[in-house]
Amino acid sequence: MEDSFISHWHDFGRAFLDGATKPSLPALLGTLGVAISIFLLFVTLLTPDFLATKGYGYFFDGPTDNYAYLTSETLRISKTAKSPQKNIVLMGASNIKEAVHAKHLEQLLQDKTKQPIKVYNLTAGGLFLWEEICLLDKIRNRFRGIVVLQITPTRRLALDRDHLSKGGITRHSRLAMYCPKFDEEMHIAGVSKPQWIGNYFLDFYKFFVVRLPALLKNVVTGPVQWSPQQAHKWRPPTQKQWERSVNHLVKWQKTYHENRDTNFEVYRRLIRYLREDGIETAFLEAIRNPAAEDLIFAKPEVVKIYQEYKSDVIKFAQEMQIPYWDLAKFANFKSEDFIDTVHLKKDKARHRYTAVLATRITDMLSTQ
Amino acid sequence: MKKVARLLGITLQAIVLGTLLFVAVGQLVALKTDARIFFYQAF
Repeated sequence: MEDSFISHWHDFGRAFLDGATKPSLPALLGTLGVAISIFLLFVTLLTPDFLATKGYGYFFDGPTDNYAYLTSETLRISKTAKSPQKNIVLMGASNIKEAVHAKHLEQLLQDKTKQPIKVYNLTAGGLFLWEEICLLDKIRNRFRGIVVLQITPTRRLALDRDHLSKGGITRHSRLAMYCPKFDEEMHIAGVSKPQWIGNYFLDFYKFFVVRLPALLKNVVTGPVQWSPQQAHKWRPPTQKQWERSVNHLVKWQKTYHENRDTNFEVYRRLIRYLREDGIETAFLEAIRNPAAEDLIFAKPEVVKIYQEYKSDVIKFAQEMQIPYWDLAKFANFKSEDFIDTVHLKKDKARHRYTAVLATRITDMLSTQ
Repeated sequence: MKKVARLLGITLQAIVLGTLLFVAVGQLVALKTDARIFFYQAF
């Protein structure tokens, strides 16, 4: 009796293994059927809402996939933020991402104002102004409060139009979301608008297909948590990399005069657009390693153009009636607080800077 | 019973290979269209 039971299961297991491992026409047809079904599931079920809710974190290719985070987080805010409440958006590139601790800022603001203020962290390494427009366009219907917008000559005011068409903005779908204001700015800049067909997966297929292996892994291991501070894990730059980085911080002066007016116009349109929905903007100047500043400002012509930049920003901020904060001097940064020319690595320095920023935001909130 | 077992085996094979096929085609599309994830490098 027992032998027959074992033999029965033995036959069952052998037949199962045969079916699972041997090539056959039904298996081939099944394989194609499954692949096509998954494709159809993506086409029909993958929506911005899904990415903002149940799909949050599944498309992140690790905790440093900043643009998958930005996409999901922005969509989440646009779906879930409570509009009557005043909140804060922290927006900018890696400089501000590494310099401000968003959770600590939130805690400080709640303590100071005794209000349930939320701080949304929409920062990513290499983020362009036009991408910021896209993110803000997406959240403006649900968000009320202050946008703390990083400002800097590099990648912002000195950036030329070529970056829009040649760079990653239009070619690579770094962000997977529809933003009419972004398309409008592209049109103003003379870059042809993307042709949307209206299907989320197909319109942003580059964003999704490149993350399929990560999705497969995340389905097994669970959604990924984004890591806002990443610089402490970087290797310190070599002398050559350091010099290249310093040169990069000086290079903007060549394109500043040519591009500042057009880029100030972009900011002007953005600030007015946000104001229509009761969203106020504050400019936050980027920070620099004091050791790099000594090298950057070694040449008088760089000092001259930087002073011109500062005066331009101050004038523009006054015209738009927005604050311009250059807070580095209040945080007493030392060279060893930085991993390189512009990125903070030490938590203590980050907390000092965040505290200074919290004070400024609280002052701004109290006048509103 | 054997038929059911074989069918279950084929189903498992189809799910695994179908998923891998979808991911592989996706990777091919990514390669052909120069799609990539932007990971920030400071220097």
